[in-house]
Amino acid sequence: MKKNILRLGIIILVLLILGVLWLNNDIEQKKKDEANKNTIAISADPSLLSDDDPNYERWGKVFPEQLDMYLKVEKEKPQATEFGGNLAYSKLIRFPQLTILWAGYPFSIDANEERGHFWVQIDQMKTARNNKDFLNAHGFKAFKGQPTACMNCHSGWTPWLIKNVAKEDFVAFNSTNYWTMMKNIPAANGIIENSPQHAGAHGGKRMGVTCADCHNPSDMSLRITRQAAINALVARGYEKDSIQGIKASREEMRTLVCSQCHVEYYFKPTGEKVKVMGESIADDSSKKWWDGTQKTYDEYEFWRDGNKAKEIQTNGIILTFPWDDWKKGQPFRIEMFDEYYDKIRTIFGADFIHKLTGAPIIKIQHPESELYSGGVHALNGVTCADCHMPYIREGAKKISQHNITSPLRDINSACKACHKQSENELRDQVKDIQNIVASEQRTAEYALVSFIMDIKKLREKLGTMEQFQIDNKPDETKISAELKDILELHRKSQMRVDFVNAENSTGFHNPREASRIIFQAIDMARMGQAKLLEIANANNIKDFQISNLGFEDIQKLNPGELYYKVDVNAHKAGERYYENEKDVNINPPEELLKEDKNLSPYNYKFIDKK
Amino acid sequence: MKKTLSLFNIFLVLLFIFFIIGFYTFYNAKGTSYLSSASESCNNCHIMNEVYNEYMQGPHSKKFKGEPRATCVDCHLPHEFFAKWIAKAQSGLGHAYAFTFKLDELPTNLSANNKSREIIQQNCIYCHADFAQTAINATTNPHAHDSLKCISCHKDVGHKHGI
Repeated sequence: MKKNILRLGIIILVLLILGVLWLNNDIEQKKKDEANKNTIAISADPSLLSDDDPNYERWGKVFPEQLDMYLKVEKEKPQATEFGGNLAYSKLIRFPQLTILWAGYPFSIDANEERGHFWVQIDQMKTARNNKDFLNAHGFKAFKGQPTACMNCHSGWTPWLIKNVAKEDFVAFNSTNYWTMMKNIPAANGIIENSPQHAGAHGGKRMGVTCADCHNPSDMSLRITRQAAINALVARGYEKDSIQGIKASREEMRTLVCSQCHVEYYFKPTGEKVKVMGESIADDSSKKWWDGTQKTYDEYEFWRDGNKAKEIQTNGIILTFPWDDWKKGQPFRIEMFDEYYDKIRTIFGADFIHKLTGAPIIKIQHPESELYSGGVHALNGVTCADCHMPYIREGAKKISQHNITSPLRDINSACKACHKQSENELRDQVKDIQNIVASEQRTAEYALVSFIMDIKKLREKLGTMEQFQIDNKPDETKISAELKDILELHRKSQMRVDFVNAENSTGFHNPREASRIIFQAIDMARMGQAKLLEIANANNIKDFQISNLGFEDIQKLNPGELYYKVDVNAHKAGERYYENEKDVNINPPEELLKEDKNLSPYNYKFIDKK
Repeated sequence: MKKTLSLFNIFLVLLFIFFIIGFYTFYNAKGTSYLSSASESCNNCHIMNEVYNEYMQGPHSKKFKGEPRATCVDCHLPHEFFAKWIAKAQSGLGHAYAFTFKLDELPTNLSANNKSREIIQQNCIYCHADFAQTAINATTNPHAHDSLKCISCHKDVGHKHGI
């Protein structure tokens, strides 16, 4: 009996000793963490890094935590948020009104929700907007192919290519064909030339935004590497800096590095011919596009079948931000774009001519920097990185998140560093702002689509009248002249609708300015419809009525997932365009559509209950 | 008998080892520091780094006759003897458990729980009674929903994070 008690005691003691030893080990570990909290700065060997090799895996050897966070985006299951997130569903299915707004422009065929910095180059190479044969076979006969200018922000290789291939000639870089420039991305770090790895995302041709795009290799300080951003900031009154691009404080840089790309831009024609790299396939009369015309480049990322580089001449373009009227220290106002684009109209009239109305349209792209500049957070010195790359603790280290995403996914780190309210209260507040802006935005989109449909209707009616005909056919120039004021209203209203749509925060970056912009868009669309009635009256068209489309009408325009409609290259009609990408171009989650349905008109009983 | 004795010896040796490594672990974990009121001991665990740094920059950490005006425990623990040690033991165990086993789940920015808010409110009054007894108004009624506390307005006096 005594023996048994002793045995039990011994067992308990052994377990206790093991437990205490484990605890001791854990304490040691945490003390080590604390002692090592600044080790990055001490142990990092910047001599391993240089601009000759922007591969993030190489930089990640020195900064493993940051690389881990960056690469998390590749493996994690994508999530949608109400108005954003990183699930690449088809925006055209969720918002079919976009197919009408962008009619005549490749975005009307393929536009998916963005899914983060890791994917930007992969997605840009795959999008149908970058597939000449597909577009030509699906209603865009005149499409000539994307220029390298499109690659400025998408590839981590861009600075390398400008330096080594375009020899520091920014215009030549931008003016080269996209697929030709792709062929110049080197195989570095033991990657075999022309291998799948060389075509891939990890240091290969599909590598997206990378460490070197924002960080200096010598000390990891922030820098601006994109020439267009430097040019635009200089035009706004900033001073150039040879190391960090622009003279600015670290706090400013935490916003400016994002402003390299999260801006509205256009490709300004220089009016001159430039010598750039072309492809010898242009001389091979056996190589034809889908429509039978001569191929001028091989839509493939490698040189193959004897195709090689040759010098050609082409029209020069330069990536430009339309910021001349937006001076340093000012909040951005949408009218600055009106003034700018009106001023340069003889050089750059439009991104595209609207297929249904004939209006010259400026397509706005992700103007986060512009909208954010006047918002309450910006005015209080909060930077992009503060919310999108909030500090988190890893062991004892304080590091900033590098899986850049919606702050709604980590409200504690992103918001609670400053706001003391509970996470639920904060989420509700963001949602309320976004719901209201989204409601206004949907109202504006429905109004604008109604306006566009009415312009189309009136164009057709005018075309049947003798005074608007030439050789018994509608004289489009004459009709456009009659509708001059209308087309201007369409252009300006659409610029505003597009602005808030392309800006990726559903107004949150500056709710007041977003509302002001949308308000103008609605006012212009409805004023335009009134003017259409006036013109109809003046031309004795008695039965002309204006339309007022809503959610249900618009849903009928749903284009569905993207499929081949005819045989193109090796693809058969009926095949899914994104055959290997299960998460891309899919239907949006049901509940988002349900919410959209209740936003305009605003069904507070539904929205407030959620 | 001999066997029992040897078992007993093993037991004694193990007991001895247990106490030795137990004391060592207590020492290694700076156990004695938790018996003091020094604010540095709250910063033994790096979860508190940000809060501690801000406290050091705030008015309450400024020294007056060689002592800080208020240490962490002056605001975060009751001032009565028994209540203080019960609260200290409770939160000490809770913190040790969380830091040992739930480090990955802890949020970046901490929030005070309701009990902590109550203690802090009492302690504001405890030290600032001469002013507070004439200045306190009805909005501090503890029965009212979401009633104001001293730190509702004076939110940065201790530290910015974690209110």
